[in-house]
Amino acid sequence: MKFSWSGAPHVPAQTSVANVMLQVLLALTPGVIALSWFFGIGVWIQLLLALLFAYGLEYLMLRWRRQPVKPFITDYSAAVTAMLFAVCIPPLSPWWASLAGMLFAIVIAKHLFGGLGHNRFNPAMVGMAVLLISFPQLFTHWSPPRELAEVQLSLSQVLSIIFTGNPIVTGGWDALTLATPLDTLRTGSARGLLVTEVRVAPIFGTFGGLGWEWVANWYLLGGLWLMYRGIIHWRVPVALLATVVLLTTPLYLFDPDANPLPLQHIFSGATVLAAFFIATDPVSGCSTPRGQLLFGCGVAAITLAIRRWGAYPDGVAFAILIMNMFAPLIDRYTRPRVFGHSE
Amino acid sequence: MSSVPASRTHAPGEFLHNFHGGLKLRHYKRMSCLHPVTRPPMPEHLSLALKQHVGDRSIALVKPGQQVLKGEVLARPASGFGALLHAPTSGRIAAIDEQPVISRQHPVDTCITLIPDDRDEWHSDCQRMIPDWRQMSGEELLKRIADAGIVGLGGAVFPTHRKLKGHWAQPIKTLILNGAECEPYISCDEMLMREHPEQILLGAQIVARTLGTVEHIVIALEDQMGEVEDDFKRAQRIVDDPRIAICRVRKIYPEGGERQLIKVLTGLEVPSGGYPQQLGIVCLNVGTAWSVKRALVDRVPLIERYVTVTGAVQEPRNWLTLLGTPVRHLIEASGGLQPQVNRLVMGGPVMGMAISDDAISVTKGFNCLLALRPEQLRDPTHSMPCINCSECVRVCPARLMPQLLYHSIRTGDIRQTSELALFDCIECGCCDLVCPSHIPLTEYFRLGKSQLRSSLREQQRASKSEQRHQARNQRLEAQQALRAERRAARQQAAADQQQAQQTIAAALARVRGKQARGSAPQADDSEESGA
Ligand code: SF4
Ligand code: SF4
Repeated sequence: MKFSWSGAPHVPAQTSVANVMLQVLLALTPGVIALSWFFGIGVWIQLLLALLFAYGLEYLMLRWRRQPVKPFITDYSAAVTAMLFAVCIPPLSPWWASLAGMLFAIVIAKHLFGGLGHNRFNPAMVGMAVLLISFPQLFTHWSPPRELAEVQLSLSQVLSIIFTGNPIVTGGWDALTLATPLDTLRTGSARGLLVTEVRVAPIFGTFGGLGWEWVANWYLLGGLWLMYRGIIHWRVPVALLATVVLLTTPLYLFDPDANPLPLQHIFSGATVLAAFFIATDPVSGCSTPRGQLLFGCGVAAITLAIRRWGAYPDGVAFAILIMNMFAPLIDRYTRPRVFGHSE
Repeated sequence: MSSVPASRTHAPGEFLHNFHGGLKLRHYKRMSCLHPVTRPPMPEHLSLALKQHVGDRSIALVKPGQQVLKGEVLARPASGFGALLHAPTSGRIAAIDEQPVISRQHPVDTCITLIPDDRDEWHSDCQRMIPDWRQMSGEELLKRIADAGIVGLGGAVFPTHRKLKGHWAQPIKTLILNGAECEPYISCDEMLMREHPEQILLGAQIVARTLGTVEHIVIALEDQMGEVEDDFKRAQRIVDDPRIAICRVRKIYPEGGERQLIKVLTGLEVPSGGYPQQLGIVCLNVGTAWSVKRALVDRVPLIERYVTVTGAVQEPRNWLTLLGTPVRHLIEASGGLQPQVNRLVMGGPVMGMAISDDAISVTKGFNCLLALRPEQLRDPTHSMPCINCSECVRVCPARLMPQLLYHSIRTGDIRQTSELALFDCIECGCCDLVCPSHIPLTEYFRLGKSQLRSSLREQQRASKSEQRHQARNQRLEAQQALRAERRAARQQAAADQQQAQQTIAAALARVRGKQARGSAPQADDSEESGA
């Protein structure tokens, strides 16, 4: 009797790319729910828009590149990109923001570089960075957390703001938006105020921004779950968060008036999201153990530098992209010593 | 993490070290350990591959039609490197021809077909009394181990006498018996250890005597083999040898790999491309030690071994199987295959070799026959691109960068491949198992190794022909120089000669002048003196 032949191993597949991506999506979900709880229904609409554009473009690009559509469209990688992008942009952004973001993320950063697994840069962050540079005013339109909101918007109002770009309420954008905690800190210190003075603004919560800190908590929870599932590993998140604490604690201790509490740095902006979901992106990150530590440290250091000296309130997107550039180099010089080789 | 010289302070196995990577795998071993080990019924024919060892090809010493006795030598390696092959039972040689065998490179090879006569009559060599092994010298023991055709039964099939011989920089102080059978499903070593712990220890003592300088004998078991440990403890009391230590290691695949096991027990890393003997260590499979005992005490050469038949068969179990038993016969003895089985594997699921034909027979390295259904296999038709998730890096016990190796092999970048130390890959398959993109990494690495080997050969050939070319140039130059020298010498000689002739001519002229006046002397000899 004849039997089939193939090389070892003869073991069923334990996991798959789709499975990994799906778990990342699941882990992000609590954070997204929290985000929409604090910042309104717009979050979901941005997410839907981003998904729609991401999948439309993904399909077109796969057809154009003559790639098999089914395995790639069902790998959920475009969904992860869309979701990461959607939670980073203000909930009332116009519809074309998603389109532009996804054009750069899916078409340019992903498919023009060779598709899944070949992108040198994190696609979602490429989309973000392009918007940040081209339309910086978009990011001043963050909604206030629900406790501070002056007007409660209905679904149709939100839709019409997103699709027409008009702040349809009396008072215009000013009534709809509120500077984010990081913005507030920035403008505060630009006006020569002490951090302690700035922090009495209602936008701040216990240790981060009001609302923001809760969202970050849920991201953290999702991230820990991913770690528990073995989808991500401790090196990048721990290195990133530890670097934030290590770099900000001495400053804070030295001059608490001019420097925010280290926890403030962690729980505002996209720090936690970056630590567990963005900097851990395998494709554009480092793959050696030491390299991953360096990658996390680098992202943290650059983010802090941009927050302090740069022109943008939160530098996570740029920090990630800059470290993406260095990832191959870092990998090259942090290769582990092969078993049985001398150092 | 450098190789800590912890073994300076600890005896091997006293303190367990870690190795990088590895995987926790479900074992699936219980199912084949339910019955005591017995022999299957005698098959209708035995098919014995001539080459069942690492080393040179063997030549058959028997002819078709010839009657042979149990234990008679059937084949001998063409040169010194290899192992003898003995008749597993008495009978008639039916044929010596090409049959399917288990091998990647040669799917068919020369096999001796033996039809058993059911008398099972021993050859006189195996009946003769031999002295007690305790009275024998190391040399003598080695010779008897070689005569018994013993090879490494863990799967490496390296001739054991070769492993025990040789001169190393360090005396061999540590003998490790590998009972850490880390691949799923395989349980033949476990069954052997349960049934014959004392004989295994005896075999270890014989090997230790052969080596002469052994101070530690470490029996390495897996963590979950508590019962086996108890069995060994009991046996240890009987054998009573203070050198013996029994040690349970964590169950992490591939802990039973020789290099990993040595690292765990001693903290030392076998140098890349080197041998454990360089560290003063010899590592043997427990089955090999048992065979040594059988050869030296019971006078039985290696003609049978424990084989696990498991997976999707009706009654998974272990058999004490004669070499040459067809796989088909073992399956029948185990109640037949379950429906839909489409893959047979020799060995475990992770490193085993697929068998495409159940006419193949058991060889010395055949530890397990595993039957698998399609749902127990990976769909080979589609793999995704590498997403650089570095799971493979995390689990690689050789600390390689499998994803980079894969890229370099795919792009044919030979230099990069060897720089990434492909030859240090132990083909354990860990990377393959964790890859979310289902890339057949290990298969790529096997391919890459053969490419790398042939490119190295090519290079060698090129450098040889380069050398030849240079040598030829040198030779030509030397010849030319020689010729030029000769020419110069000849010219010089000619000039000398001319001069001499002129002198002579002048002298002659003078003589003639005189002659004209008187008698004529013989003057022509002068040519010679000028030459
Ligand atoms: S496990 Fe597979 S997908 Fe992940 S880095 Fe290795 S080869 Fe690439
Ligand atoms: S097969 Fe080779 S590369 Fe893969 S994990 Fe094992 S040693 Fe490492």
